[in-house]
Amino acid sequence: MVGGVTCEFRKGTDRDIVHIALESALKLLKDTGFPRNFIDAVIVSSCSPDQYLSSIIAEIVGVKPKISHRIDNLCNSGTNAIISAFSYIASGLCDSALIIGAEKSNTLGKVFSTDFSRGQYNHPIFWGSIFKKIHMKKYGSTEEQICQIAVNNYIKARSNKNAINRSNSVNLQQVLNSRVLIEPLKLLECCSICEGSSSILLIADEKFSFFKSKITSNKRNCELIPVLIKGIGQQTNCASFSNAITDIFAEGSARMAAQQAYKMARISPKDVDIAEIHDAFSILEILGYEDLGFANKGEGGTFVNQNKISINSRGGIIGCGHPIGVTGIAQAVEIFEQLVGKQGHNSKLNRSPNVGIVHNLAAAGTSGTVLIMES
Amino acid sequence: MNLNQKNLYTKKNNQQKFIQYIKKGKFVLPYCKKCRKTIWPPADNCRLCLNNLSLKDYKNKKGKILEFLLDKFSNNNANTIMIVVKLDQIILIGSLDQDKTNKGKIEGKKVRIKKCGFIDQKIFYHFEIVNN
Repeated sequence: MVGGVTCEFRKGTDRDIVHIALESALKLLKDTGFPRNFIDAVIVSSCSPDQYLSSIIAEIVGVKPKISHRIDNLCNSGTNAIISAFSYIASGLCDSALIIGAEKSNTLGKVFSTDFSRGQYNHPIFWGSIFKKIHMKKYGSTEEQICQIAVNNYIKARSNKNAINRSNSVNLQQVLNSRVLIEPLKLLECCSICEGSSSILLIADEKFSFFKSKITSNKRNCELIPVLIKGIGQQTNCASFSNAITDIFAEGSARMAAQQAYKMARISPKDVDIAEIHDAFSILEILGYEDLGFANKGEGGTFVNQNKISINSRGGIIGCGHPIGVTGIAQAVEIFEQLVGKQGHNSKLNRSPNVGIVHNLAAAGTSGTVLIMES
Repeated sequence: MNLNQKNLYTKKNNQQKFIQYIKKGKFVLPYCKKCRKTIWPPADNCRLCLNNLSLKDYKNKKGKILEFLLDKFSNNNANTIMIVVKLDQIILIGSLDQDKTNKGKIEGKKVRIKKCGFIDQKIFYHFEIVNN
């Protein structure tokens, strides 16, 4: 990965999806100075129903790619798009790929309406509350531990200029006292669906010198700083809640994806310095600690205030907001920026991070993606 | 082939039939005779062996409450609670009337479908507690 840009997340504007996408794509191309005539693939991650999105965007930014298409996999569309681009490059079909995430706040992706096992309770907050209640009952995690996740992420979001909640500050008591949506899930433990855009550039490792020479010849003060994608893991165990609930607390998709990624990268959880964990609800971050191997099964609650790994330094999904198809890409951009030493976000680490991990889920954890990145 | 023919595919698939039955208040689920299992989601083929599935009436089938939650988010009847039910090998989220007989611990209690249908274009499953 040689460049990444995330633009401000907003509650909602009257912009169309193309112009939302262009905000980050154009900034990325200008900031990196990457030669557009060498972009082989344009992949758009979005739950928007707009037709032919990637080709329209490619045309506007002056790119004529070999491969151009959209990816929609609900909340882990972004990491799916990254994996697709990685695969094209690794196979030799492409040498470079521009990946753009874009979403409007009224996206169709915010509710998975065709899972009949959820009945009338098809909004994500229902399965979020079920997961929280089960974890508390089965493992004894406390309200304070779980709600502290939201507090931590709101605090970190305050120093993220792109976060939708950057002006909000909450303390533990406020989260605990916030409106109960479905017992025991509270309002301030939930993310907000919003509008946003984030883009990244991937290139083939062996072509780095070639592309770098093309940039310095075009534009000064632009640079490519490489971050390697060392490990990829993806697993989709099912689509319905009925089939998900039996394994989400055992060998679920996210846990399996993490194992695949660690194996490919030849590292273990103790090697990870920074992590972006999918915290659409605070309980998901606790499950993420466990699935990524940072804490043993059931002990995620005790890992909340640790200092070994920097978690969700941009403020997580709770702090930043959740533009569905953008989230996975924005998570990767955050890891990229932390690994290359860019300023901006909180990090509890007292060392320069070397290895980062992205954990991105979809539809009650029925699908999980894990990426491992290394500077 | 006559391209002017309308409704070329008149045979409904199991998902469409499942929805049709639910709209009529009938609760059916797909069953695989080879695997001897209830299969989810409603489909024409078993996801385990790919054999054809038949639809079975599960109206009086008993399930067990795995979990319950108080829903303060929906604009539904405040006297219902949300329950997670295991019915055969399927897990469904449905509702249960809250009254004096089911206040307190209701996990593990046996239930069956009392009513099902569509409300605001969403399927609903409303259960009732049954004695053994």
